[in-house]
Amino acid sequence: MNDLISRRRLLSLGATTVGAMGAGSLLSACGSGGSAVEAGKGSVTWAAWANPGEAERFKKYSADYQSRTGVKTTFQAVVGDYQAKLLSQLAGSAAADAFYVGDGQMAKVAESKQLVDLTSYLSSGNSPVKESDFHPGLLEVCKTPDGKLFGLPVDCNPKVFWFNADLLAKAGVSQTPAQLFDAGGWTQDALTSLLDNVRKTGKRGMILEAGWFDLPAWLTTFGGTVFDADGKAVFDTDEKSQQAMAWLFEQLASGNITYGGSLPKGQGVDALFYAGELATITYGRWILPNLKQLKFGYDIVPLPSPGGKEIMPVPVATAAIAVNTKAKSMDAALAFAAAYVSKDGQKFRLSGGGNAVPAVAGLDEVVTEGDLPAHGKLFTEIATKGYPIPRVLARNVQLASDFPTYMDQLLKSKAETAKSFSQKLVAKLNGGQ
Amino acid sequence: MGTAESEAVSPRNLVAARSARRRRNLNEHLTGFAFLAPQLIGLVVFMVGPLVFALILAFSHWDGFGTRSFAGLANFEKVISDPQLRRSAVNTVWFTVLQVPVAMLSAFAVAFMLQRAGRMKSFYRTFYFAPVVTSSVAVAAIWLWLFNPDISPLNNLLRSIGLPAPDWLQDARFVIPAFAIVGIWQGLGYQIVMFMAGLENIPVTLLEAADIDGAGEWQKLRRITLPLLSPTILFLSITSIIGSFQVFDYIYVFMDTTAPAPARTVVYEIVQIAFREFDFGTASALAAILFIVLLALTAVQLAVQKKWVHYTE
Repeated sequence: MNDLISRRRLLSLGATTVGAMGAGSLLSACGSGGSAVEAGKGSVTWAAWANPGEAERFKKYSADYQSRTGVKTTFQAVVGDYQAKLLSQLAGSAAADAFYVGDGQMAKVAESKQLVDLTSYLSSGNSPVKESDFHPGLLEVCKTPDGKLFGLPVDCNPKVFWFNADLLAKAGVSQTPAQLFDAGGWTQDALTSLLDNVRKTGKRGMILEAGWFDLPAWLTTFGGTVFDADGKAVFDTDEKSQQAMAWLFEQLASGNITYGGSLPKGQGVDALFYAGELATITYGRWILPNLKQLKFGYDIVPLPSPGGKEIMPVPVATAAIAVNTKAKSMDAALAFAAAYVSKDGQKFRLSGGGNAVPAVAGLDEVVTEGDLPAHGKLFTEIATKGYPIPRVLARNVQLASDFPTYMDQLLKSKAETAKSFSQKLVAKLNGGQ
Repeated sequence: MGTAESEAVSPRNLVAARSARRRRNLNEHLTGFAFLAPQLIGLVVFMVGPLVFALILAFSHWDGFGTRSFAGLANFEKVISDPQLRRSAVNTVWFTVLQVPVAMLSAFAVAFMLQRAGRMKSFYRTFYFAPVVTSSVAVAAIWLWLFNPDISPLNNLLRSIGLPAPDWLQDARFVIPAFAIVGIWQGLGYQIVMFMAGLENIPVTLLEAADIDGAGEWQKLRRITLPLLSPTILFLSITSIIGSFQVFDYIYVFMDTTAPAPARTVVYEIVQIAFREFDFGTASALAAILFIVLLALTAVQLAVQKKWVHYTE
């Protein structure tokens, strides 16, 4: 090997070195995530997970907010694994001034001591939104056991019963769930009959998934009590919960309900519903933008109830915006977060094709937009009566991560009865308290 | 002459010469380090630093943002006693057992045949290499369709020849084989290229001499080709085993954060424990164990290679 370095090689190495240093600077710039302070009214950076449509809407909101307030507002769209990226930024004290936190992570992220307690700001005259404006229950996710408020719900998604009207008609279902609900006949028996009819066509009637958003819904909608006032799981001994659980197991055994477990992406429950292979789906409003592009008729109702007309409590998914204790302009960050979740802020973000339900009352026009779905007004009523992620899961991230896997194992073993399944789940939940 | 020689080797001159040589050596070393610096800095910052930090974390309790505390061996005890992690380890080994031999045998067979493909060799090489340069997300999207029990052409084919059509990603017995199929499909091209390079380096003279001696194709393959290809086989077996123990991307793209127990592998668990459960200590302990296992496996392979790997001059 020649020990001498030619001039050409030297130049090449030099260029590489400069390039590497440049790339290093770029990388560090990408990782900083901090905000630049602007003289005058301050500035705010904020971050959220977002699909392309949402990112576009968020950018528009930022531009609108900046034009109204004069505060330089920068949105950072986080693609990929939001939680991992947020965690890295928090560990490096480099998170945005305000950022989204999922309902299942709020309690843990609050422990980072990098979130501002918003209680006093909300009760001050400066905030355009107050605690009482939010649907009851949603703020529970953002509060610590000692009552501090570390986030504000940005919007929410209650569990509703979507149905494919065309598929039900082909299955010989004479009255749709919406007609039954309006007539006060949307009961467990009515749902069983509907599922019986669909099963005979060879299509799937309904799918049960693992996780907190599914199972508790079917217990509480039939009058069951899943958790007591102390947050302890009690559905193994609660009579109505056990009746509902027995019904679920009967439907699973008959094939009226399919257990979906953790269906992979692309083979998920929503994909089957869009493809006309599944007659009903119990999801939030987030599927509406996709449904608008499809040809079949659809509508929503609450999950069936004992009386056939009531709206019973069901899970409501939510996310919150939190303010970073290291925000460069604290006043600007607080004002932005409060404005973002205020009635005006939610209306701006969720109107014209939004995929969530406002977390504050008085915005029915958002969910009834275009009469899609026809019973869209029910979204708000269902959200008002719903409950967020159970406290035991919100405050124990390991249990929250294990719970769907454990439920999946129990259901796939096919060795459990309604009672033994309930007892094992309750033991798992209460053991994690 | 004698005077000149004695002057040249005088102690003062010797010291001066040594000093000059040392200065020259030091300058050369410094120049060398200066040229290496961009790489070295990158290595220390992005490889050695995180590795040392991960080892420190393995003996710590840390949730990602609070203060760290010394955990002793608690994280390792937790890893070893967790039944789900043991199952994930078994899944990882099962994936390796399925993927590595099948991929290597298939790649060798294809590369061996491509040697005889004539002008079409480049076309086939590009054809087989295409999945390697396709992103894992795109690969997963294709295979999600192929594994969908309702619409899968793969399942239709199996049914048409009277074989059972499994629910690939939901049935506990088939989910790891399904990942192995995807891994083999995507990794085949790289191994083919490596085997082809190895085959082309085998001296033609040896094969011609064997022909003259009357050796058949099988004898040439067994006595000449495979022994001379053994360094390539060793390299591919080491890198394949390491790669298969680190399988994560397909599972994450297929299953997101809710993979059922039979579909989880060790690296998937590391990500889950660190970023879903905020337990960086346990995740680092698991990563350290994986590192040690891979180090030991590689050491064994390198120790055993003396008995079966043949290097040409």
